[in-house]
Amino acid sequence: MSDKYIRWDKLDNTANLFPVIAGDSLTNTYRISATLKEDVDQALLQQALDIVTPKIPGFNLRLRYGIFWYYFEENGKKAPKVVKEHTYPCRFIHAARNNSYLFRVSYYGPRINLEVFHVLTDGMGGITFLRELVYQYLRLAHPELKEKLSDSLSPETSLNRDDSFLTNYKTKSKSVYKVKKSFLIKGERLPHDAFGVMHAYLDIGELKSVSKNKYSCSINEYLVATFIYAAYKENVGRISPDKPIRVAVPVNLRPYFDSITTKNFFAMISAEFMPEQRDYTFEEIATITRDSLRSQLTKENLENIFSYNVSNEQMFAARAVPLPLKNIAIRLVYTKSALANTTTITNIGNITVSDDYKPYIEMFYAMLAFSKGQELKGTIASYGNTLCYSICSAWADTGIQRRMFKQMSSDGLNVTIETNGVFS
Amino acid sequence: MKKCNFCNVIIKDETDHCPLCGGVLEGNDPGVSTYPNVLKKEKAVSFIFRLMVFISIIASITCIATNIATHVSIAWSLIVTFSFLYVLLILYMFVKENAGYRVRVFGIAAAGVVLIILIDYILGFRRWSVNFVLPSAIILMSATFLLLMLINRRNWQSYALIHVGIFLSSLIPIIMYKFDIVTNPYVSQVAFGLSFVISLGIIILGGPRVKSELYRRFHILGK
Repeated sequence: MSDKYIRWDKLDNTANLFPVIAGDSLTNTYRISATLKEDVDQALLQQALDIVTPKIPGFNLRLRYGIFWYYFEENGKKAPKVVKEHTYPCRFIHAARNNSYLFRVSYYGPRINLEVFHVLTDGMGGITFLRELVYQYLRLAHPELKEKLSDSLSPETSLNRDDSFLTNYKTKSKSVYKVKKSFLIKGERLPHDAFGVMHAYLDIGELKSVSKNKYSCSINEYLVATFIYAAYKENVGRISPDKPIRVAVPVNLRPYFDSITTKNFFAMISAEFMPEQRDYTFEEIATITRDSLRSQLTKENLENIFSYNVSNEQMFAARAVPLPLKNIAIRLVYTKSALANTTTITNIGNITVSDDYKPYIEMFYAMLAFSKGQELKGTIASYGNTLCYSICSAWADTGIQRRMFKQMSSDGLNVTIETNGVFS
Repeated sequence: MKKCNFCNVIIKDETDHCPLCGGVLEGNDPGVSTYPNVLKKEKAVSFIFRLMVFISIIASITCIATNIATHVSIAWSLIVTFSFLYVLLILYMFVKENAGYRVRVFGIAAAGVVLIILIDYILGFRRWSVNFVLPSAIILMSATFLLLMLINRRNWQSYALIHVGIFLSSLIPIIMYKFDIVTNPYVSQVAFGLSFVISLGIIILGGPRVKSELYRRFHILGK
């Protein structure tokens, strides 16, 4: 019988939510993909995954039920099986059939997909793991790289698993949540419960120039504004001040609080558009979006947002409630607050790789699973000089996407579209 | 690559129509499909489950109607209905993708015991279910999880809490004896003694690994 100490860890404040609400219809899974300049070899990718998984403590985990809380425990089993992509993206990860791991790796042609259950980490942790996996794969596929570079993790990789929510929260915080209703997109679903993916590839130089010179916005604000404008134009009569368009935008808190954790560390702010007159131009909406986001993007406001949640979690009376009862309460609160946003648009930022690997990598992109009430979500990722704006949708109608990309092309941007084939 | 002149965008896909507006694309490039063609297929197992639900409902209604119409004093139709429910539960446990084997073993055994107690009750409650079947099931569970613990050596400590749970459930027939629900206590006493010895053995002999397992499972304030 083994007597080795088993490493264990608490879930971070945000992660506590995910195991409770996640299931086949609300998967809380996100995908980050890397497209190489060559087709992927399954055996080598499996070998790379077998090497990398035990080295990254934030992924070598399984989720366990305690009497009062969920917790992570070191997994140590064989890495999950690499498969050729054969389903829709971002499906629920059934740990019981995945060697207890909370992530999966698949490939298709030159693309490597990493899908992660959000309980483990946010986009930053996902990028770290995928980058190491791609590096390792390339070292196996190209022995000359292995000769030049050692098989160890790269120096920019953080293995830090601090709970930065806990180290940075302010006690006695008041709720900043306004549980209000928002406009929800409705429509006919894609047949067979399909998962629609649409990627728009854009040139970062062009984007920067249009958003800055034409609208005085950042790229992110411009891209969020295109969604708000499209959703507004598609549903003019149905959007009222009591049901505004509200776009949740997760903010990476690491730069604000000097953290390098690979646990979740983000807070949600939201761009709100409450139409008061009948007709708005894109320029007006871009200004409203920019002002709404910028007013919330202060360290103090971000601190308030997560401090309320953390201080609730830290109350002993709340902590000592048995897990099944806690789960009921979490589900109730979540159901109420989930409808407060029209969509979520997240930007995982510019993914950089070390110079040695650049010649082998074409692109990175990411996508979020849609959820109840938010059946259309956007994810932004960029690599090199290309930005990929990925829209995942359950709706058969692509009116919103059409207006978004048409707005971009009318602004002079070159837009290239790629889908997973379910819309035609 | 092809172009949609209406949307003014380039389309990479292997298609003749624009996925945004449905318009015909310009250009001769065949395009590429970068995603597999996935058509969600209904799993056969899910169909079998739904078929079983349908058959169970029809059969149960027929049995209950026959039972009432023939004026038989024993409610045999309820035995049939509960048995169908049990079979459906077993099927569900296997259809449910995320149920681990521990949940399956525990769920199937516990529901089986409830079914047998119900049958005993319908047949006049001669107490064979609580005197013998309930404690025997506890003994069987103790033995099964002891065996699983020996097989899954790498994570043997994770069974500690299950054995404590089995020990706590062995108190049920003992309490039932105090309230005269159980009339023959011998098998119950064996179940109690056995699960007590196993739990205590694991906790004492398991050393720091079990201590830390129990600490994690019961943690309130974290590390």
